[in-house]
Amino acid sequence: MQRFEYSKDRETANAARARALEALLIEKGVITSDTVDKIMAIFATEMGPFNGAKLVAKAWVDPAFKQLLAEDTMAAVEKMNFVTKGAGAEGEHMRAAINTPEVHNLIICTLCSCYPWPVLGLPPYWYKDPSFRARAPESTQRIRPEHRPLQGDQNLGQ
Amino acid sequence: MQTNFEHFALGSMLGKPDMPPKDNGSLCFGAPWQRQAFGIALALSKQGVFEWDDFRSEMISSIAAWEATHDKSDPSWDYYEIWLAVLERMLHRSGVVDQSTDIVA
Repeated sequence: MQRFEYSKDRETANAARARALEALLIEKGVITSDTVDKIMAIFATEMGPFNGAKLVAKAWVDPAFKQLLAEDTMAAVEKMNFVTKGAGAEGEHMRAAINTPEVHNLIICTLCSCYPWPVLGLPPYWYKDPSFRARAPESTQRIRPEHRPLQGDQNLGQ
Repeated sequence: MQTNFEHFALGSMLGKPDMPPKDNGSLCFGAPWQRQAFGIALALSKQGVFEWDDFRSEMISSIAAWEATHDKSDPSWDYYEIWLAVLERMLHRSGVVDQSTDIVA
């Protein structure tokens, strides 16, 4: 109970600090009242896994689109109504790897941490982990379960 | 490569200890003030009030200082509280906020 009260006070204090800071910066003309919303809109609506989900859902119900997605991913992305159009921020050269009951794909960036932000958002922390990047190509069976895209008979490619 | 500042800013944090919390690829905020603090920091750095690298260095050293004085499983850990404190420090340092005349919380 003590701790709960403490957290609540702390939460209230932090909210007050953030609010005061924003008000002061607006008063000084450094930012405007919609600055934060503008910044956040980019993350909330323009790039993220919600774009990738739409691509996959469309491929599920539209065989021609699925084929295009596999053969010319960027052309398929262009057909979607994404604000980013897949361009910029690591999304210029995307290629979809479609899972089948026989083939499960594992995506690794052996160079650094390239990731298709426009369609998948920010990568999980382990994606950039050196041990994951080094060990994944050696053996997809030996890497930690949470690093595997699919386990057992799961098949998300259909 | 065409890179928006917002993308660059978060990209530079990927896989590092100062990476903001995420939920299924999206940023996740536990309260509106966290979103506010995050957005202000990105906006000010974009405007050149301070360098993003300097903000990040301050984040990394603040997180290291917290870890040096707390157990890693300490439930009082609050990523955005550290973020907010760093933001306040960066504003004082840049001179945009004057500690002696501006009253911030």
